[in-house]
Amino acid sequence: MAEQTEFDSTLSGDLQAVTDVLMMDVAQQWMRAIFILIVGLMLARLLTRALYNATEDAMGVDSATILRRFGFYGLALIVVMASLREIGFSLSVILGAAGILTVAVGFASQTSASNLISGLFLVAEKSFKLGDVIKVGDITGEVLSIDLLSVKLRQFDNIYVRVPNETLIKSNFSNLTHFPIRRLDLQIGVAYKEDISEVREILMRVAQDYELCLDQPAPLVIFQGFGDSALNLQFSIWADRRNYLQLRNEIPEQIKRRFDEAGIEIPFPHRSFYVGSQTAPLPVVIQQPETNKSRD
Amino acid sequence: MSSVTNKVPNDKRWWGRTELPVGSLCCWQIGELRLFARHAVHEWHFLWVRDGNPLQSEVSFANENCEIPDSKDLEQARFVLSDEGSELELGIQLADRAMVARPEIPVFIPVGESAALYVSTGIWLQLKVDGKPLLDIPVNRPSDTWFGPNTREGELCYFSLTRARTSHSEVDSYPHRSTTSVTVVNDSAEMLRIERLRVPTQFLNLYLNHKQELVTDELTYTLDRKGSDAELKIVPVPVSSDLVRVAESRMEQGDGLVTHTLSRLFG
Repeated sequence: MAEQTEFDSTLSGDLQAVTDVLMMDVAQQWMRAIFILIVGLMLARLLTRALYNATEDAMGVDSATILRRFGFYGLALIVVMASLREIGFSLSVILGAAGILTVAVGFASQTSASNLISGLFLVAEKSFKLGDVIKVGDITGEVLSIDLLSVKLRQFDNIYVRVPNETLIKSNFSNLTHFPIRRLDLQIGVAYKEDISEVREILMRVAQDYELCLDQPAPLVIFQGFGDSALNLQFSIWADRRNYLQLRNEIPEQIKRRFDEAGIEIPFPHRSFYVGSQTAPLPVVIQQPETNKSRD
Repeated sequence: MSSVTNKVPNDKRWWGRTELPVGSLCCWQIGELRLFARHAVHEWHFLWVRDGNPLQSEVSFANENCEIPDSKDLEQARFVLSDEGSELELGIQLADRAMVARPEIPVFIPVGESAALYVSTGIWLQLKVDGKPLLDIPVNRPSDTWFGPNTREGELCYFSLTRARTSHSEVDSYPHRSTTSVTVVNDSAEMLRIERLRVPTQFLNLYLNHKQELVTDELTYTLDRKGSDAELKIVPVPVSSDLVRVAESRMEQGDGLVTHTLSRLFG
């Protein structure tokens, strides 16, 4: 009985020792895994930052940013896998699970994947860059960032707008600052009694006297047609895109002043009632104001 | 300011240095521009308005009885400096962008001919206090124009209408305008029609000649045999006792030789 007790005691001690050794091994594996993870991620960040610096000039900020992000995610994946392998996960199991996961995630995140691919095409296409002003549908704003899933805009009323990349790929959008100069088209109506050539001359003089209006490409006055109430003209002038807003604000003021000086009428919409010869004239009654009405 | 009083005989230099103590005000009338400088404690205040006659040929300076107009077109800028220096320098300079001169009547240069055309351009004023540049404004603000083969490629320039005289003496002389001699050599096989002429003023030095007129480095455009490219050469004017350099070019052009496609030079 005593021998049995001694045997049990010895076995228990051995098991304890084995357990301690195993625990120590496991702890060491976990520490190594954490070390690989931390150092690996730091290295990945440093490497991708160096990659960004090396490619920024050649590829531009947008493409270099995307490359940096993809590079970081790829390296981070390798680091995580190496870390998991260190604590005993089988790589083949991980890859198998990743395959199944990819299919599952693929079905679940079709929209995100579409945005991701659209983002790559957008960057490759170089239709706009950071700082450009673009118009998408009703939204006009400055491009703050071009990310994997969306483009972030700042509207001029300082509202932050996120536009999915897929939307930009699918729909029309305008880049208002792509070219260095822009044309402003003003629709102007003048009364039928006015001489079009005189109006044209006044408009050209306004453009000539305004220093922000480009001399070339030359200003244009295009006759648009005989409108309901006015002769419709289009006045097209060019400006440096940085001065566009100022031009748009100031040129109508100057046109109005010159028209007033020259007595050119800008008519408001009006209607003429015509009664044909087959009908009697419309009766017109002139009423006097009731000023002398006696009081009770 | 002895160097800017307009009554000094045989010296039409209206720019230069002046002492402006704290609490004083001075003013200039240069062409259509009226410019005021006020020195307050740690502060310089400049005001300007373009309401004069641009063809006025006299420049005037005063450090008393300056009346700042109450005009909606009055522009102003304040500069705060830690030093209490009182030396104000009014300098002159050429435009900060190229100037495009359009002859009132298009000019034709036949094959094998060369012609010297004189183009007049406005100048800019630079105000410095104790050597620190503070303000850079044109006497007359020229219109903008676009110079390039299309609306996508090109360069934003200033525009100037010119008579493109063929003799320097025929150019109307103003103290606030400079004259550039542009020689065009047509070595091509076709007649050259000049509708617009680009003068890269930012690369040119500014001089005062013996007639007290402002002139710049000379330009030579040589059109090649194919007629597609033109070589632009900036020819520095040799400085002599009759010619003093009054402002260095804003930008360096290297060896002064540039080849451009024809459309980038003559419009």
